Amino acid sequence: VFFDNVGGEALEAALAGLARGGRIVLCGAVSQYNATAAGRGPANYMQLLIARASMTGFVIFDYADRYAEGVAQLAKWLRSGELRSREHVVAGDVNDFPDVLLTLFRGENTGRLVLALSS
Amino acid sequence: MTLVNTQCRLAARPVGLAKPTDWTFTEEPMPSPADGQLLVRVAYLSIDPAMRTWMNAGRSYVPPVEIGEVMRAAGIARVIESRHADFAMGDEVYGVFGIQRYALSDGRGVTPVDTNLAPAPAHLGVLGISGLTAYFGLLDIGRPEPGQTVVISGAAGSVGSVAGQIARIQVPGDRYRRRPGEVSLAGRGARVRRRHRLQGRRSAHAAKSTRSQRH
Repeated sequence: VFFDNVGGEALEAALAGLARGGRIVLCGAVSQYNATAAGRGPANYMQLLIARASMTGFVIFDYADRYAEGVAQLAKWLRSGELRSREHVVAGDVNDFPDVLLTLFRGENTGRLVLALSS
Repeated sequence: MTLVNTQCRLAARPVGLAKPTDWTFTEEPMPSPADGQLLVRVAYLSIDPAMRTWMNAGRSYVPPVEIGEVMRAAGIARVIESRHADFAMGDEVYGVFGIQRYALSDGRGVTPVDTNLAPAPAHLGVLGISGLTAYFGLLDIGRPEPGQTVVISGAAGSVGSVAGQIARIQVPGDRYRRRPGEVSLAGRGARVRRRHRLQGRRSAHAAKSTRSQRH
């Protein structure tokens, strides 16, 4: 199972290493978000055929009626210590947003990037 | 006393990385809530790579942010005035309030946040959309079975960091491995090391793919 948030070369590398019946979860493609030219598809997509694999995109909003179930399970793991919460909190103001946004694409955050507005 | 709101608005559709000139900042007096509305003061804003995609025109999974509109963003806020039956002053709530100091809402999409369970920022991460995306994406779409290998790209990011942990909890290794064969791909050496420490991950690759992530 390849859970892809990056796309681009990461996706091509995963396609090249797919197990038979492998599944690619297309969650995001951060490597492509600032692309100025139209992106080319993965050159080696025929690996999907060879591996009898699938690649499925999804949007979390489609799970809205199951959010409560998901949050309950995540909260349970969080309480038991099996799951750690990781947020990267930066203090600032509304005017700092443009700079903070750019740090995401330099890969400077670990976990959810959060801008905490000064009170 | 009239509250003054500060807002960050999209001024132009960026080409590549957003430039300072792609944004404008406005200050406006904040109106009082009408019947059925609540007024919130935003405390935490979720800064998400997907924001960059909302700034483009064209087909996507949400409508684009229009030029001149306050930039869309989810956040955690405190209710400072309520004329809505479901919310009271002082409540901490989650909602898509935008990049601004104060917001008026009709309560749609606004949900209470239990800060006894976890601090407010966690409700934008592991207990928020990121956590849910990792949970349903991995278990419902990926459906890993015992002994199978799970590879996660962007494994230090908001979704990837949760997905990796869920894989460890939910996917037992095969008889040759005590743990599942997860491989985490993350953008920087520091991140990979951190993930080792945080999750006892058995293997991590700082892949070539990281070049494209750092553009």
